[in-house]
Amino acid sequence: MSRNTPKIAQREFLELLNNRLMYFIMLFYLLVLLTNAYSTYIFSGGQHGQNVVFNEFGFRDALHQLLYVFVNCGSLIAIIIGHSSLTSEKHRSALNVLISKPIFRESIINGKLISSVAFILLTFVIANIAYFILLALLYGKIINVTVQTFFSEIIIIYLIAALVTGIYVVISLIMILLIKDTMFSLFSALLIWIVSIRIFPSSAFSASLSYAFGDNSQHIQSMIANISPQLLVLNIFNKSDHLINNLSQNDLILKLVITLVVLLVLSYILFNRRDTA
Amino acid sequence: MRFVIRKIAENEFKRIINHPIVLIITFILFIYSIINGIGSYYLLPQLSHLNLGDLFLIGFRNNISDITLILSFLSLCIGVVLISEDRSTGRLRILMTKPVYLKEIIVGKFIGLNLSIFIISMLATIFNVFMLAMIYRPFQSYDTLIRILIIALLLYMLNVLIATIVIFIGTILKNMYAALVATSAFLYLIWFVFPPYNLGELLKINPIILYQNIIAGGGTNLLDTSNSLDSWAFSSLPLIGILLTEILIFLIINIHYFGKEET
Repeated sequence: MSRNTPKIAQREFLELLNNRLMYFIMLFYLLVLLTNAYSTYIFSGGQHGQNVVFNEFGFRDALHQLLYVFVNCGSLIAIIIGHSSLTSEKHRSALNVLISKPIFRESIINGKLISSVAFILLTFVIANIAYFILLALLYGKIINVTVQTFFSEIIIIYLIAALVTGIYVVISLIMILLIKDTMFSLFSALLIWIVSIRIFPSSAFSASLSYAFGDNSQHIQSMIANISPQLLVLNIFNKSDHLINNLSQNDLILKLVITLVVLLVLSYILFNRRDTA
Repeated sequence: MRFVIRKIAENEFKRIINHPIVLIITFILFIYSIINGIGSYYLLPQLSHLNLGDLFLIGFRNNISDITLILSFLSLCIGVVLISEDRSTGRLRILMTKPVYLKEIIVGKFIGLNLSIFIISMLATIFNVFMLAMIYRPFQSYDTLIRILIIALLLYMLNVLIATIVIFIGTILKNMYAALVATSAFLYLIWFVFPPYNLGELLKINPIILYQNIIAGGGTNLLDTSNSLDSWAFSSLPLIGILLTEILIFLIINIHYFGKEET
C-alpha cells in the first residue's frame, strides 16, 4: 500500500461523513435491521405476551439475522457508496486533479475502497448496538453467552462484512470505469446486485441451469452457490454452532478474499487503461 | 389525442425502449426463459405423479417471482430516467419552455411509460411461455393461457404503480443521486424487508404484498388450475381495485407536484 492511500482514505471518509445523503443511508440500514428484529419477535409469538426465551440458540439466530440483513442490504449500500465516491469526484473534476498528482492510480482505488468499507462498518456497528438494545427490550433476557464467545463471533461477522462490502464497492467502481454514463453505470451495478442476491441463490434458476448444461450431478448448482456472496456467507451457519468452528472447517474467508483481489486487480487495470486512453 | 401528446409519448417510448438498461434486462429475461424452459423439460415430468394441476403453469410460475423483481427494477430505472435524468440533463427545462401545456407533458410521459412497461411485461411473459411451449410442451388448455394473460396484465399494473411511485420520489427530490438512493431504498423495502404481521390490512400498501395477495386470491390461487377462475376473480377484484386506486392516487400527486415545479 502506498503512503498516499491512508491520506486519500481519510479524506474520502471525512467527505462521506459530511454528506447528508449518507446519514439517510445509515438511517435506512437501521430501519431495515430493527424492522427485521421486530418482525421476528412478532412472528415468534411475542405479540401474545408469551414467554419467549432468548438463549444461546437465540444469539445464534441474532447473528444469522445480522448477516442476512448485512449481505442483502449492506451490499446494496456498498454499491451506492462505492458509486457515489467516484462519480462525485468525476462531476467536480476532482478526479482529474487527483490523477495529475504523483500518486499511483491503485492508491486512489485503495483509498476509496478503504474509506467506503470503513464507513459502512461504522454504520454496521451503530445499527448493531441499536439492534441488540431492541432485542434486550423485546425479549428481556438477552445473550446468554460468554463475553468471549460474543466478541469472537461478532469479530468474524465484521470480517465477513468487510470482505462482502469490499466486493460490492469494487463492483460499482468497475462499472463506473467501464461505463461513462453515470446513471447507466449505477443501473448496471444494481442489476449485478439483484442477480447475485436474488437470481443466483434461487434454486429454480440454479437447478434449471444445471440441466441446461446437461449436468445432473449438481456441480453447476454448487458452483453458482460459490459465486453468490449471499449463499457463501449464509452457508457457514449450516456447519456447526459456532462461527469460529465453521471457519476452520471451510474456506469461506479465502473464497471471499480471492474474489475481492481478482475484482480489485481488474479495477486497477481498467483505471490505468482509462487514464492512458 | 392531441398531436403534441402523441409526439411526447412517442418520444418517451422510444427513449425508454432504446435505453441500454432496457435492452440488457430484456436480454437477461430472454436467457432466463430459455434456462427455465430447459429446467422445466427435465424437472416437470418428475412431478407428474403428484396432483399439482397443469404442470405447464408450474413451469411458468417457477421463475415468475424473479421476473417480477427484475421488472420492478426496470420500472425503477424507467421512472428515474423519465424525471430525474430529464431534470439533471436539463431536458425537462427545455420541454417546459416550449408552447406545451403542463398536463400535455405529464399525459405524454405517462402514456409513453405505460406503453413501454406494457410491451416489456408482455415480452417477459411471451418469452417465458414461448420457451416453455418450445422446449417442454405446448399448453393444452385455454384456461392456462387466460391465467397467464392475467398474470401478464397484473405484472404490467404492478410495474406502472412502481414507476409512478418512483416518479413521485424523483419529483420531490431535486438531486438525481438522492432520488436514485431513495428509490433503491424503496425497492429494497418492498421486496426484501419482512414487515411485522400485526400491521394487518396496512401491509397491502406495499405493492408487492398487494400483488402477491391478488395472485393468491385468498386461497383461490390464480396459478393453481384446480381453483376456478370465477372464484379467484371474486376474491381478487377488490384488491385489483386497490392497485388501480394506488396508481391513480400517485398519478394525481405527481401532476400536483409537477405543476408546483413549473411555477
